[in-house]
Amino acid sequence: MRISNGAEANVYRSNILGIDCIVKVRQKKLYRIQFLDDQIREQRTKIEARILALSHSYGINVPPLLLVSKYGITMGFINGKLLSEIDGNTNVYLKDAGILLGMLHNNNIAHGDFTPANIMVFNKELFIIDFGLSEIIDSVEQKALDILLMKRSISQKGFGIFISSYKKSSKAHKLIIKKLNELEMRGRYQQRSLQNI
Amino acid sequence: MAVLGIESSAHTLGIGIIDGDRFLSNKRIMFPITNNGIIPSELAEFHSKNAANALKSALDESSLSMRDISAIGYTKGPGLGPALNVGAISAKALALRYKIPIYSINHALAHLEIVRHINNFDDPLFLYVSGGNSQILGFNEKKDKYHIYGETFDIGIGNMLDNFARAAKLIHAWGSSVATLAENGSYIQMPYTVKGMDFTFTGLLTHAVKMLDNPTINKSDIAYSLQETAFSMLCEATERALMLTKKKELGICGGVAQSVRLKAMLKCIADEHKIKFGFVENQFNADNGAMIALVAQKMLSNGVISNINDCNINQRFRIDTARVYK
Ligand SMILES: Nc1ncnc2c1ncn2[C@@H]1O[C@H](COP(=O)(O)OP(=O)(O)O)[C@@H](O)[C@H]1O
Ligand SMILES: [Mg+2]
Repeated sequence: MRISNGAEANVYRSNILGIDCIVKVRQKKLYRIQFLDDQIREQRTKIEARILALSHSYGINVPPLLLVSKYGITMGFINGKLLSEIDGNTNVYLKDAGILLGMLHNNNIAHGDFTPANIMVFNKELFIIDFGLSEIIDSVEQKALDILLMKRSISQKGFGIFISSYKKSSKAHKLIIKKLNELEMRGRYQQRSLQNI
Repeated sequence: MAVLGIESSAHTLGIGIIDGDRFLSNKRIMFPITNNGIIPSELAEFHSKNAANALKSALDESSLSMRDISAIGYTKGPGLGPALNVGAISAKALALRYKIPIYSINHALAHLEIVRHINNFDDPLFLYVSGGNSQILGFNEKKDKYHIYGETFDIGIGNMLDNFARAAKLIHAWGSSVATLAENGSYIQMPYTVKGMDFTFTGLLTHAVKMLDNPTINKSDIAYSLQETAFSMLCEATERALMLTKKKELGICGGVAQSVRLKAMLKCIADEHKIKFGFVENQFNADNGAMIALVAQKMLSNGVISNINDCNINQRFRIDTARVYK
């Protein structure tokens, strides 16, 4: 059963030996040349699987990785909701999201698309998904971009909660937030938010 | 009810005349770009020298005189200050002399609106690709302004291609020369950077320019790979925005919308999502006066009050602060 067809991948529900899982398959894109298409899909599948495994070993909540093929990943099914789809007060989740992002960054993982649409909530616990645009990299700028993407996707108040817990968990938060301010000063991001969509 | 538009934000001086749905004239005079790039004061001088002639030939082509013009629009920004000033001053002088309303227009908004108008689109998603800009936009909830969903973190795709063309010593340092060089090229790996609906081009450019120094690598392969990589990045971000917004119309606009390859790629996305794809002919993609006239005409027909004392320029006029008129 298909549960999602995103811009990049289709996600199917499955069950292996009584364990609920999902299969995420990166779809061929006809607009780009085959070589680039194969390369992007293969590389993103690889990095996503690698980071799922790594994060798990660091004790960061992600779906358990079960199987990897060239363009497909099988992982544990999270029987929850996306943070972006939760109505009502999400403050407590934003606090946890800040802690989780700090943990990723402490381990030199930049997510690349860190928004509430890539965070799932199950049993009041958060799980981070969608690591296809992630990098294992010690880059202050890449980490600051994660915060920027989040900032644009949530309310100002929500961001205040998010960033104060991020500061508690991220070791290099001073440098990273300084970079964030720099990125915003570049001007492109002033007055910009995703609030009205 | 003919309306005149003056565009002078960058290297093109454009004068266009529109009457209802009819584009009567669209004159464009381009500052010759040398390898030194643009010197703002020289550019302003060039535009001032050409303004009178361009105006006369636009009026002649439309078989109109200034007395037949019922309103005038000019580009307020964004753009280069000295160049913008030429357009603003010319427009004000004409408005005072002929006692007609004058409207100041956002350059980027005009690029989008002409595509929306010609394709009869109601609520499209746009990929706006020009020299300094590369953005993905659509109406906000109230549909009175455009909202930026994604954009370049660093330079515009047009400037990226121009810079490469200059480094490769192509005769004309602009995107179409890169496209010509790219013909029959084959793909070599390049850095590819998309972050959600945003993207960056400098890493790609630096990489491609460095490759030019390597005599064993075919220049046309580099041009081909650069173009395919950059366009694929734009397409990926656009498709992500399309899925987020669920819009049913996709448009491309701005100078780089002249690229045949980029249009083909976007059309492919639109076909796959079974939505409409729209573009305009090249004279309306390049910087031009007709698009400015079109927006001025919309303001006039919406009864917007003109105030000549507010008619200044704003080099950093952001599109998401500019009002849209139906
Ligand atoms: N482990 C999972 N458990 C349950 N649902 C998932 C899981 N991973 C992804 N999904 C669902 O599939 C959707 C798309 O997955 P995602 O990895 O974010 O891919 P993309 O956004 O690139 O299409 C998510 O929004 C979520 O609804
Ligand atoms: Mg996702």
